Amino acid sequence: MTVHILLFYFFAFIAVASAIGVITLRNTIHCAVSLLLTFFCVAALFVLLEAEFLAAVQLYIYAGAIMVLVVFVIMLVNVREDLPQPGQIPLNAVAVFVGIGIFFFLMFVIMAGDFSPPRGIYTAAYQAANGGQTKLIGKVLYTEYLFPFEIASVLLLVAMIGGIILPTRRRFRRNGKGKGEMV
Amino acid sequence: MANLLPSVQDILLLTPEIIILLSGLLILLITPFVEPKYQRITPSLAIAGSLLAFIASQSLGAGHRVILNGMISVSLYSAFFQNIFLIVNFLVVLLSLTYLEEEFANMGEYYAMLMFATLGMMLMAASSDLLSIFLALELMSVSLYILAGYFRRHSESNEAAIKYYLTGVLASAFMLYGISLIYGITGTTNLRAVGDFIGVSGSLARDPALGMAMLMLVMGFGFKIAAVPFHMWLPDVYEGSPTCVTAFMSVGPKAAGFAAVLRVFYVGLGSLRLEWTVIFAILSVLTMTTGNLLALTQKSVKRMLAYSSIAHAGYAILGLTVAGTALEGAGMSSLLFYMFSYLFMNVGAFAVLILLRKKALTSESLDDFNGLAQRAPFLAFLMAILLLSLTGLPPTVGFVGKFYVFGAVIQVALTGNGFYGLLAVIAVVNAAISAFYYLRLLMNIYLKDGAETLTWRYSHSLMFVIVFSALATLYFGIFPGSILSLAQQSVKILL
Repeated sequence: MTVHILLFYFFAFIAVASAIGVITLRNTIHCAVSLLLTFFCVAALFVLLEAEFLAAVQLYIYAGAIMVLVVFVIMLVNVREDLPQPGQIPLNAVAVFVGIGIFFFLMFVIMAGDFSPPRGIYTAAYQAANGGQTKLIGKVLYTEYLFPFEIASVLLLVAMIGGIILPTRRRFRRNGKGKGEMV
Repeated sequence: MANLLPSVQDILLLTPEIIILLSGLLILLITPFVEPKYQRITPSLAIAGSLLAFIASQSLGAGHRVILNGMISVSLYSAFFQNIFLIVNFLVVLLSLTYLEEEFANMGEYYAMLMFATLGMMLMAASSDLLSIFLALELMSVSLYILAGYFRRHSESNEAAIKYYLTGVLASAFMLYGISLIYGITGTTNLRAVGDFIGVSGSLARDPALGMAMLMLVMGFGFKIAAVPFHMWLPDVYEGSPTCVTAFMSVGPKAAGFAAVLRVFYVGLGSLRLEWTVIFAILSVLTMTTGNLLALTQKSVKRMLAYSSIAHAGYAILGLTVAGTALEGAGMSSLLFYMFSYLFMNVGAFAVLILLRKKALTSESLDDFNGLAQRAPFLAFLMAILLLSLTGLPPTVGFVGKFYVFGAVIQVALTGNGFYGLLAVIAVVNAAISAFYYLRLLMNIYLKDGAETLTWRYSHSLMFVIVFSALATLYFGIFPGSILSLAQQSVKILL
């Protein structure tokens, strides 16, 4: 158990430190690598919580797919260095102060809170006896949570269409009757 | 765990939503193949979809059924809000038609986004689980971000989309944090189960983490209904968005936000009602007063309507504060009626702004309406009805809406609660302030002389929306009984 706790603090510390790196580092590529490290540490935390499936998904989707996109965007936009503008304070002191205040407040609230809900049926023994975690998650996702799953699919469709409409360059021309149309 | 897959009867209860979804998908599907001269086919599909869904929604019956593993509860309550959304959708499609054609932006995607936003709002009103509420809210919000930035060539529209997106994402993050705390404490996201769990254990209602979760939800929803101090995004977003989108945004998402707020706080966090009643009371005072005072100083009509919509949200939050007292039924039904009354007057007022506007997207100032009554007496008369309703003067629906909200507050005050007496006084003072700027515009229209500075963009569909809104404003102002009893029956499922 103590190894567990040590490992937790180890990964949690790196996760927080690299997350701070994401917002403070100047070179955007360094920020991206920092983000990658955060994703890895969060995946490790999932493993410590015995959520192996989530850890794998975290690695595949966040560390894999999303990181590739982030790096592509950095290459396309070609902002190597986020140089401070004249007159701009590099890290707003007020924001840091408020952020630290909120952090300690939240920490107090969460330490004082009563997080002891009734446990569900999905214990490690139950998972082992019923075909493993991945199978059970699949079952729950497509039965109990089928409806949110469907809304999420519409949501992603909308976001995708938005991603196509908003940045595409389009020209409009008038047709004979004075009505516009897209070219 | 036995019957987890939805039955056909359950799915049929979602017919209105499915019709809206299918019409949105159909619009997307045919858009690339529509010849430019038939470009009106997509708005026609949108209109047909919303009318069909409206009819389907009427035939669902009055029962209260919880379906899809507690994710959705179909009832009069959800139907009441869904009817508001479908009417808004119908009117806004009509508003958009000629407006978008003149801006050379009449494309199918716009109507598809409108349908998906409506779908999100309908699901939000019907959701009875924090998870489905959040996803429906995101569906609505993402569609609205896209709609706000739809006029890509205008920098104002881009600015509106960026501001709306960044503040909206922040609000969603707060809300999600609150939801995760609630899940950590209660072990469930179902609102009934959350309410029961907190209610059964006596000490949990004083739990600091639960209080924090409640505050996070107040912040998240506060952004969506634009309560002060979470309103900063609203004026620029409303001014920069295409006017037809502004008309949609000022009614739909607000009503959807209130539908979800009422469920989350009354059903899920009912044990904390002493706390949230005070929070909402403070928010409503801030919202009403700030909205009205800032509206007073505006030169642009669109911006004035934006600030006044903040003030109207403040009046509606009054209904929420009453929902946390012994007169909960009166508070909730007055809120529902207020949302209904707000629909027609606001969409109508924005329709007038689309009919009479300047060449560019720039805003029409108050002085541009000088002497409108001499140039267009009929339109001036319709605008007068809408403005009287926004002010809250009889015989319009705006009066009835304010009357029931204020009446509910005064009823609580009469039970010996001096705090609510103060609220009622502040609300009435605010109504008087709002009269000043609405009636100033009315005075410009009727009493001042002015030259024609606005371009007259007449179209039948636009005129239909204005006449329809003005007539509905008058009709429900004189005969509010049917809607009022519907609102009272609707909130029974929450009680």
